[in-house]
Amino acid sequence: MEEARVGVYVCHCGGNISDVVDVEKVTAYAARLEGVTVARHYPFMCSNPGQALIEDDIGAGRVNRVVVASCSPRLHENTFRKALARAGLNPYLFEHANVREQCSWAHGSEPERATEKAGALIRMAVAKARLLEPMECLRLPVVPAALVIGGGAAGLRASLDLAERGFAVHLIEETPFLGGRLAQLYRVYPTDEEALALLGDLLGRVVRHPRVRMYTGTTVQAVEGVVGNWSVRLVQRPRCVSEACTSCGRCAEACPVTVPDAFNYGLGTRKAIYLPYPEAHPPRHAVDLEACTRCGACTSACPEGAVRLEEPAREFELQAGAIVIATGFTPYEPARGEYGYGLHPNVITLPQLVRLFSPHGPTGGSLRLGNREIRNVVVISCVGSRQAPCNGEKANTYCSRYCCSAALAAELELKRRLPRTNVYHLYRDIRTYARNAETLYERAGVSGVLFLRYAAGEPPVVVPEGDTLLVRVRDQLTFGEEIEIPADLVVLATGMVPGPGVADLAAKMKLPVGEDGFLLEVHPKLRPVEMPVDGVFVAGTAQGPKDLTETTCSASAAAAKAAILLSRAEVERDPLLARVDATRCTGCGVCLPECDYGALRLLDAERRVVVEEAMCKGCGSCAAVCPEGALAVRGYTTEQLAAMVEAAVAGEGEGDYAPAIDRERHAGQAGAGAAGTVAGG
Amino acid sequence: MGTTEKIREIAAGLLRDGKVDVVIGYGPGTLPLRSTPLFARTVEEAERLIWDATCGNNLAVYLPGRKDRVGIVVKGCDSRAVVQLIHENQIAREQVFVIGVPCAGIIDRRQVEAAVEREIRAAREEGAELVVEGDGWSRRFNREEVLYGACRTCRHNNPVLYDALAGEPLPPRDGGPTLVEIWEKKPAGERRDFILSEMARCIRCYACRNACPMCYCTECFVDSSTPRWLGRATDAGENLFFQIGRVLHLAGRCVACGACSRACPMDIKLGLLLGKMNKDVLELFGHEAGLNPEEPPALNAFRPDDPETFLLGK
Repeated sequence: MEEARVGVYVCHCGGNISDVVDVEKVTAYAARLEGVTVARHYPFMCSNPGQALIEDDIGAGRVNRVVVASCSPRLHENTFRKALARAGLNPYLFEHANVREQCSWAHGSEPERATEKAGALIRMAVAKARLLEPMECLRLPVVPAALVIGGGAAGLRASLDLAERGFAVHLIEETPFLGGRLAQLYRVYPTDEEALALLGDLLGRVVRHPRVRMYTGTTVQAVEGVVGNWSVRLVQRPRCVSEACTSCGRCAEACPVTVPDAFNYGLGTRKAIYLPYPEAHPPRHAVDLEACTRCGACTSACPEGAVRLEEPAREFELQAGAIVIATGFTPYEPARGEYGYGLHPNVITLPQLVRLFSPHGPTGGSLRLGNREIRNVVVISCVGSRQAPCNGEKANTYCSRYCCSAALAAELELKRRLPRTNVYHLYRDIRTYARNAETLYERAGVSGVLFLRYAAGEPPVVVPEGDTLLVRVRDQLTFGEEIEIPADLVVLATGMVPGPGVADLAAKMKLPVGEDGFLLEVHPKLRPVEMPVDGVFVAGTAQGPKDLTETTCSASAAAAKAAILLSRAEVERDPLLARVDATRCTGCGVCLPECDYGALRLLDAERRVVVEEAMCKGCGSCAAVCPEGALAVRGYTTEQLAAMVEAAVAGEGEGDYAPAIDRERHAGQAGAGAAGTVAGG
Repeated sequence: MGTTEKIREIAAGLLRDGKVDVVIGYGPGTLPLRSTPLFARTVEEAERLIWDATCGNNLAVYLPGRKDRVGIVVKGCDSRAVVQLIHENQIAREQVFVIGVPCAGIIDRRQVEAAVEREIRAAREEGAELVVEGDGWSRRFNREEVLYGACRTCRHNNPVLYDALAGEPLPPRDGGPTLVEIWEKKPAGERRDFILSEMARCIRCYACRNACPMCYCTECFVDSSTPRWLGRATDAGENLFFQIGRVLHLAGRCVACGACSRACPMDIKLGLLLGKMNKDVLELFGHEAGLNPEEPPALNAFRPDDPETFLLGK
């Protein structure tokens, strides 16, 4: 191999580094390290002129290994690798020394020692850089199909966009019916359109699309593979109703099992064999096997012979190049006793009120409570959102974004239907930020809704009083007046919490979630719909509270991002993966159980292990346990790391941070004193 | 029928029926108190197999990486090496026919030689006694008293794995304190001085490594040049680094057969170092090598509820 000529480039980061670390001193030190031919410093190495410094040195043949001492490699490793490639040098002949996050930022109060540490970090990086080897990217073919997880508004939108773009789409939905939370809404703000009409339009287009295949009652068991080549194991629960079903409903009439109706948020009941609402899709009943007693009444009642209670679950596998996660949210369920919830039947949540509006709801759209007319309704905002953490318990500190507008829209609907009913809205702040949603606030006020503002630390108190309720609130708009409202109905505008499957899916796919439990994208502004696992995208409220407009936007964005990936013939992967030294491997197999990705295979006949590079993530677990030292991760070999350790301890105990130890040790070797040009910024 | 005859019968049968390609056992040595490994490939060769109290070699050292079918004569400790090698995938269980021998202990030749201080011409066992003879002299030893130290406190004198047993199982020994237990009680300074003086004598011939059935790495760390872990000099420090490195590489894998000690031309008490490590592995991880093939390797298994007392410095 050609002798290593290392160029060291120290970045000021516009003062982020140079205000603490003496960059000139560090650069001069670096120039004296063995193998270093060029050392420079510059205000912003990542800027175009900064990168040009490197490219010029490479072009002139002054350097063939590059060390940049700047920020975290997470930020700019790729930037500099590309600069190397542009200059015709293999991009993997680059080593990043992090002298910002791991030095200047951390040791701002001790500039001298920080300077010493920066020198040590560079010394280590140079020691490794001298042993770097050129590598080539792996190229893997892309499966031109997408898996969309979740059949609600976001999943349907993303599926349709991807299918329209020409890709095969596998859409899986955990429940037996498509439509998600959108199917449970009545009208959506700010246009007041019927939710079922919007859903019907979207669903119809998805259902009719030849490139979309739908799997209801289906959940993810395991995800293997890498970007472009996902292999997903799925399990489909039995629906127990075949396509012969005409949804005539005789089965449900015959079914003797009655359970609370989850579709109506527990208001009312349904049977163990059910269709949640007449237009539900697929238009077939489904059996709730947890409630079903297998009595067989439905089987005999069905004129089409469509009910088969013994249908087995089906396990199957799908290949996809991209995965879109659209698993949605769950409405916050207030604790028992929170604003009287669960203690009095007339304390309900906003999603429950919306079900009461619906003609398919538990009351057929009638707004009566028992036999009484509703005279006074109190709506309380920010229930389950913007909570203050107390006693170390987990709190939903975030704003759920949809509830203000949705509550106002519901109040307008109440006023429209029951003009004489008094509506009181108890709020902390009104956040009708969506386009045209502010008019809801104005219209609610005009229509007579009374607004009372409570302080965060002093929420309203709901007290059951016989048949009715009493709500006490200290109203800030009247400068702290204590107001008591006798209420027939209290509506809690509950926020959004992560769906029950998010944590499980995140664990299976190794995806990060935020403190709020929602999936965390790579960057909220730069890459808002991409997950840190390449080839996985997030759509809709799996990522956090969104209203329908935002959900649709993010779903289309995720589909567009997935399409960019799927339209490529192949993906490139970093080759920083496990490698087996076949001459050392004895085939003991100790590494096999350590690999979480199934990337290692034991060739029994040859008694050695091979790496399936498409599966390997380069985590290094195998290299850590290999008793023979036969496994290593390329770019992080034992030899390279040992050189770094040696360089790290080489400077220990030296009074001056700039030890001449390397030079003494290798005295007489060519190049030791050939410190190159030292250019100022 | 004596053990020797029994071994010959089993071996001849295996070779005659074509069940194995070779039987690895012991043959008579050219010097008294010695035996030598014997590879019998024919029924005739099997007639030269022997068994006596000099059959110390752990023949499992010949197993790693074999492609043929092997019959192998093993003592209790050797059988643990076979189990461990199967566990480490160095030989398949189906490849090996294990001829187990209950072992009453192996004679420490060096002890006898040191006691007589003369050239021994012949030696034989007579009941509980060992008779050694030279030119015009003879001396009797209580056999038990000239066994290897590890044999005297052996807890696995019967094979833990065998396909045929040559002889009747022996009752377990009552043990008594092991050499390690005695040594452990000495003051730290004394132990350190002892180890350093032992290490100063090591000539780094690597006979210990080559005799060990578990030292089968294709490239030993002492031979590695990139990175070079070990200097070439044979001072006490480098020697200690080699021996400690070897001991740690055998953590949870050493079957305490004593092959390293027997192979050492300088008579260094390697068994103490390895014995101490085995004791620590047993106490810390509840793991003994070569007893349970299902058990994961002690140092590769992590339990989230590991108390990790060493982190707290207790």
